[in-house]
Amino acid sequence: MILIVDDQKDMGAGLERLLRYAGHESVSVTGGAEALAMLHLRKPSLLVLDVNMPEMDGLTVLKTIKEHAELKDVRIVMYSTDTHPETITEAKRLGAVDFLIKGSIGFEKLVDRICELAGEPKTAD
Amino acid sequence: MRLADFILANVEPILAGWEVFARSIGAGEHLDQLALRDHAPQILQATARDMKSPQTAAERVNKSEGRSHTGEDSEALDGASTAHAVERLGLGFDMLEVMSEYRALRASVLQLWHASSPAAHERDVDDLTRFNESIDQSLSKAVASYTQRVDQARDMFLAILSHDLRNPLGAIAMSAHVLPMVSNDKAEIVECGLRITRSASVMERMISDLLDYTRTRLGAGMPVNPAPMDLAVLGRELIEEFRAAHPKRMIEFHTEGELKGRWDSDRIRQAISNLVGNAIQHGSADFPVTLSISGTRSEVVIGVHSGGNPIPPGELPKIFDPLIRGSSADHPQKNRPGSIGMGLYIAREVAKSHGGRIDVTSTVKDGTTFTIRVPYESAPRAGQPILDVEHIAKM
Repeated sequence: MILIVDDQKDMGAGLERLLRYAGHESVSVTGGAEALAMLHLRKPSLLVLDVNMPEMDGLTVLKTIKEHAELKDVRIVMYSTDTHPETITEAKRLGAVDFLIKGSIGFEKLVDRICELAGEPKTAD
Repeated sequence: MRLADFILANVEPILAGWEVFARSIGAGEHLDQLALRDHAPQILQATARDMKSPQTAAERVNKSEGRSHTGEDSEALDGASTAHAVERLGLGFDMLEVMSEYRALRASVLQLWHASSPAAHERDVDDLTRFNESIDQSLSKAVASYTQRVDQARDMFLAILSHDLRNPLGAIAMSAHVLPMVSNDKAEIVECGLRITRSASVMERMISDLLDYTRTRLGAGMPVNPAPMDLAVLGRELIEEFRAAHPKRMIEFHTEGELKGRWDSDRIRQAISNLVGNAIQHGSADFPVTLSISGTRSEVVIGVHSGGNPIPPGELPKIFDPLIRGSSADHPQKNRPGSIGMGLYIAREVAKSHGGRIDVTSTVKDGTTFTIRVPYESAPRAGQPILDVEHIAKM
């Protein structure tokens, strides 16, 4: 399962559909607190995490997960419009496996990359 | 008395003259003495000390040509001038107004000095030259600081804008990409269509906010079409919409007195909606958000109150300007989803365009309250096209 966290509900839902129609089980939530609650119930093969979110920003969510003994192994890829080099460096320092920039990568490539990072093969095309 | 000593001995009367002038500038109308004087005492004292410090012929040439200055006193003057420009920008002064303040400061000093010793002395020319050099140094530093700060704020503002517009655009592109894949699933097609429509509406609102901002920032004014309306009805509709969108939040609504008048219904709705939306986002969920609208004899008072952490006092005067607010690293701007952070600016412009005003108070004890006051009758305003030739000629 791939978990998507994006405060822009339609963005998260769009990616969820995209991944689902590409053959992946995926779920989207709109905030860090909700994502953390879900992680305790079920660990995803990959967490796709936005950065700029109003209540708990993506870097805080990332740090919280990586500091948690039971959650630290969750693979996390950032997916954001934030292109500041310091944000990208900080995310990687905190343990993100990649930093994908919204709008700079086509959807097919996006799905392929997410699939590759999740370590899940595509089951349908 | 030498001019430098005169300045040091007469800081208070000079500042009083400066303050009267600063207050006469639109942006300074509602500011208290402390805010108006800000770094003026430091500029004056640093100017006087700079005048008293020895200066070689080469240093004088350098200074007159705007090149770097050395010495502790000169650096103190640069520091105070830089800080003054940043504060003035935050308070909404434009560059011409900042320059006018320097003109007023120069005039105030020279008038008072002349009045104190009418008999001319041959040293006066030297003193005047040193004084003018120091004031010019301070002015050029202030202008450079102002311009640099505006550029920084604009860059950050554009970055925020591009980030906020990219999200709904991304959602539209993503849904459009999914559509061919779901061509056999009617429910999914409808869902894709709804996502596209919602995101397009968000983008439309952002662009509309940006246009309002650009129009008013350029001085063209916000168009207003007043018509008879009832604020109680408008308030109730808005609160119902917010309660539906935020079922977990306590949202209260109170009305009192006569609330029928002539206003631009769409604009007033936009202003109240921005304030309530902000209160929900920034206020603590432990306290209710309250919209209260009350009619007095001459005006209607619209208050939006929320609880939780107060706005830092230093941020209050800047809070209505998106170009300044949130442009510092200490207080990065976080917009609510679907907003580009212009809500308060637009609320203020709506109040102004109706002949009213907006105020804010924020304390730990009393929470945060934004208050719009508008008269019962608002005059129509056409606004001006942003690229109107006549308007550009006046700029």
